[in-house]
Amino acid sequence: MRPRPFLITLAVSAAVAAQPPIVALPAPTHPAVTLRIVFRAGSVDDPPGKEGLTALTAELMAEGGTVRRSAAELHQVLYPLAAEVDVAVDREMTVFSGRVHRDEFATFLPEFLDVLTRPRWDPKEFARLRDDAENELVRQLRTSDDEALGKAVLDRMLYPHHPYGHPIVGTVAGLRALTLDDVKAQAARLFCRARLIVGIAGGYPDSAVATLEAGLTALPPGAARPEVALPPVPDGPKVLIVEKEAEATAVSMGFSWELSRRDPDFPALWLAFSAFGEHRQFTGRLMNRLREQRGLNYGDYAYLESFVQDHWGTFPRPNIARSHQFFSIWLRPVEPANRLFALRAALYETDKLVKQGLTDDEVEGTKRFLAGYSQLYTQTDRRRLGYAIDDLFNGTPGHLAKLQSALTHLTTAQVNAAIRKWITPQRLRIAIVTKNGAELVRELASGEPSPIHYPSPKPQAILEEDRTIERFPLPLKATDIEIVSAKQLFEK
Amino acid sequence: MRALITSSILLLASAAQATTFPFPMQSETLPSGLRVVTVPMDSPGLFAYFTLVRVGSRNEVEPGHTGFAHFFEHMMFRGTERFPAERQAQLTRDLGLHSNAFTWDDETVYFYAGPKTALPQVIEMEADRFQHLKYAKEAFQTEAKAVLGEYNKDFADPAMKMEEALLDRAFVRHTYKHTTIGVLADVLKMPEQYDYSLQFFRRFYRPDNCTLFVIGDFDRAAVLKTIRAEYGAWRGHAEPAAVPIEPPQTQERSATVDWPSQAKPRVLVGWHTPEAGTQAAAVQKVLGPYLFGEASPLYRELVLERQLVESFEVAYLDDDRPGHRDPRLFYYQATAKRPNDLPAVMAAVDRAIAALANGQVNAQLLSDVKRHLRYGLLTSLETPTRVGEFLSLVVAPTGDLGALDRLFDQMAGVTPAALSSFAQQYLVPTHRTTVTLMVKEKK
Repeated sequence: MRPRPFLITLAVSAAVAAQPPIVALPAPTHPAVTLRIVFRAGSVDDPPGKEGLTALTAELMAEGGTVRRSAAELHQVLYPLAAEVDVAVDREMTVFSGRVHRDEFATFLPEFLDVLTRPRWDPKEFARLRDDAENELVRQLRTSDDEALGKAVLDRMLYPHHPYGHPIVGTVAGLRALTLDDVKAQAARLFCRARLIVGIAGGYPDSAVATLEAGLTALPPGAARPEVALPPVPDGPKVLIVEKEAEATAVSMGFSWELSRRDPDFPALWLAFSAFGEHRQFTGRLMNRLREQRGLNYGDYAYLESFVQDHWGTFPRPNIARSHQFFSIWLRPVEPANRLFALRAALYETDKLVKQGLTDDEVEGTKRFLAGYSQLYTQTDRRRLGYAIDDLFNGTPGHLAKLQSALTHLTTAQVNAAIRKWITPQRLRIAIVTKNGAELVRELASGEPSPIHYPSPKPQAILEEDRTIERFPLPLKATDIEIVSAKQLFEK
Repeated sequence: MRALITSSILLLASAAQATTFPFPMQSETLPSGLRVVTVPMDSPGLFAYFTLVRVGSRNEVEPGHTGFAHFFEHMMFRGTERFPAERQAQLTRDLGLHSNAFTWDDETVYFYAGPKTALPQVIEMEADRFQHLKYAKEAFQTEAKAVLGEYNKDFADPAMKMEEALLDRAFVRHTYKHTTIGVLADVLKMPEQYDYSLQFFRRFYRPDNCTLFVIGDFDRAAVLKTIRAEYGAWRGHAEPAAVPIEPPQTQERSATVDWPSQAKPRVLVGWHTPEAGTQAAAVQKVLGPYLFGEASPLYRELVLERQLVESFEVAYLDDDRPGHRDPRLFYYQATAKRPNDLPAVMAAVDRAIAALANGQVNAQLLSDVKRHLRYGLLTSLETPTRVGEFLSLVVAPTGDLGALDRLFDQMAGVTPAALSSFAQQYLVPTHRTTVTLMVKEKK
């Protein structure tokens, strides 16, 4: 095949203060046009007592119709085009995305611009979407998705009394406190030109960038976002057990850290985390030791940044960048009988990673893995735009390419030094969603061994290692462990 | 060696309105019956390599073995003599590959994606594991526990329980009675099924039951040469699975699923409908979005105006499959805002179906739905992996590459009268099974 027959140009006009930066990635042969309109705003901008305001505001804009068309009328126009209008709200970034076949772009663009600049603020849609948000907390997160619940609880543990800590969708009390006026004011404050990054990619016509830019001048000017401060995290429980009728036990653990993509240690840690726990691949140690060797669960992964899987794929979702990051480990649900063993196995592996580091083979193999695998990160226009926009947000131009190139120079010693410097297992906070929580509290506090029984013979080396794991010290006092009913979570 | 028996160039990229698969595709069948389909597309330096095996939970005909096709998919990662599991994982890592697999009712699909320099070794590894899979009993038993973990992960969601209940109630004899992951009792017994697993491999993992799809940036001649060499010795014929025929349903059925906490209220309703490849299957691809899509009157009434429903899920919507290999179900799931609203929701759906059966068809909406489906497909096939997934799922039910063309033609040909007669014939109470979620909190 011939090489790609189009040019990728990255036009960034950030130098002109009044002009929002534009990322343009033309690909004339592509059948679709992809838009990503990103605001440096997210749930971190929810005022205290109004948790969920940013997400509801964005949802109401994306779904609730425009001045010209009600929600139903907008569907009538967009549906035949298979045009997508979507919104994704994260902690510090909100992405309004649009996608349409290039033949229909001219019809689509004015509608999409109206969504952003002339929302309908329909009270009925406000009520509908606020109900949905509350249901998401009360009837979904608390009851029907234990893995997401574990992660939401970990957020709360890592950032108590900080807007990073509440679910992006909000809290029950926060949502109930919201009014349509709150939503309008939040839109004017957050979804403004001063916080805007514009992205367009794919088979768009030459005139599209100018039309898009002109259309977005109707956004309020607004003010640049304030720095996101992270005051020292107060001591909370080291372990929070969420009591719930659940067949299996979900575990998430982590601690906040100030690692950024600009940090010189970032490439070394990128490699280290891939070797330790690459998301949904069989290359990581955690996956290998916990699932492959011991059959404890479906998967075990580790992350150096806030991570959300992109749709059904395995790659990281772009545009969830934030000012303060955290380290985390995710154990997919384990049988309750093995919950303590699995937790100890993860702690043991973390401890071993810090004390003994990665081997030369792991470092060299992971370099090769990432050199290939990470090329798949930017295969679509949507993801290419996402990465370029993250680079603007983070101030890291060409981040992925630089990471790929940095890999070649990394040494095992550098990687292991970065691991030792950054990973402090003593700081881990642990969220556990399980039934019979009181029994787990007792087991955790007692420090008694938690042996595992396999349905099949195991190699001697694993059985010996198990004897260390089942006794792996848990430096916990009874006061370090709290238990809460799932029903009580996210009230306020 | 001249291995080429049949070679056809399928010109699917024609400008015909109905045909929307946008890439050229060439197919060749080796003497063993293994079919190799090559699809070049613009993805500089990157490829995807898919293996479709026409085996799924449909093939699980022996009692006590539900979930086995999926479990077996896991075992395919447990190595061979030449590439033991650790070596396989290490090579995948060293070649920088994305590797995964999935199993559904009619198919098991394996894939690799990555830099094209890795393609010869991928072919070598895949050819080896499909011919010479070999794992120890201990590895088998360990993997069975990982499958239990997958079951546990999925069943924290009441939607899975409801699907399980719908299939169990709607089917009496056919293997579509169980979900792909299997019933818990069988999943728990999986560690005991080592010998059966060897038999399963022999019965279904045969060249004439498989199709390779090579997609992206590659040299076709070189790829075919390597494939012929690496798979050349693979022999044998797949056994047909003796899947029982489902007797017609003659009475309405229902079931409830208990859930121990306040989950979102929902109802799942399914009707028996024909298999893929038929005109009726094409009708149901269109019918889902026609009845429940965002431009439908039901969506407008129940989601936006009366606000009884939070969302609908519908069979074959956002699903590449053109239908199933055997007759299965057309279904919808309504997630309601409040439990008491479910009867009103079902009544509104019944009214919409009755109107359809009565010949009241909105021709403009039908045309909008067809346009939506065509554009949706054209804009979704962005990466080799996505194209591989799409082709595997479209081809799996009938095994016929022409299914792709036919489906688009048939969908384009769905008339108002066809929708109406489908509703009259299939969406009737005697073919229907209804599953409702009941919250039963412990005091």
